[in-house]
Amino acid sequence: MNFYEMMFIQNPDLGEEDQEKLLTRLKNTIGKNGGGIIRIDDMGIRGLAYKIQKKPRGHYFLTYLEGPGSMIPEIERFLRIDENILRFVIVKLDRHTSRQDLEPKAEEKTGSVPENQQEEVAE
Amino acid sequence: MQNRQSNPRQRTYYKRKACRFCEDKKLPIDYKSPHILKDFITERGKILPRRITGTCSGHQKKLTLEIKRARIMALIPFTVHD
Repeated sequence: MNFYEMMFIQNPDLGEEDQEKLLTRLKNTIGKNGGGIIRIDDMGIRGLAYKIQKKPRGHYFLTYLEGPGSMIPEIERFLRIDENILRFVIVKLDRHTSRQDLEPKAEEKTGSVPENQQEEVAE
Repeated sequence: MQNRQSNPRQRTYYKRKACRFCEDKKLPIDYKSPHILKDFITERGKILPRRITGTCSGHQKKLTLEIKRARIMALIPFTVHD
């Protein structure tokens, strides 16, 4: 079993219902191929650095998956076929990753890019 | 500072820039943090060479990969047109 990070951009004009359907179908695809979603973060609608399919904005999602490598081509196939997925990237996480690292933490503000890191360096 | 013109054979030495990722191990090289990647691309979106940024070889390789991923996800531009 491997851990993967998957980010995708969904059509921002999609209604809530269609979005639910899409996510359910995605989950089913992953489930059917022996994998599971550990976590799914909705990063919200953001501006794109360049237009994709003439759209200036996209709805970003960041997900963490667990499963065999053989599920990846199937997921990619699904994402490519669906017209409402504008882009995606799947990255395999290194072997030292554990489930706990990926599970949602209570206080963590998920998905957003930290603007000011709170760690303070001594001196 | 010495006058450079007085001795043409003497080279001016600059302070060697250190790799930012080696100095700060917590600084992530990640396609999800475009605000960090932006420091390593030009205004037009090209990847800056190591000789300009001072990044070490290993980190530059990782950086290149992550910049390319960020471009695919439209987090940073491929190019900036006029």
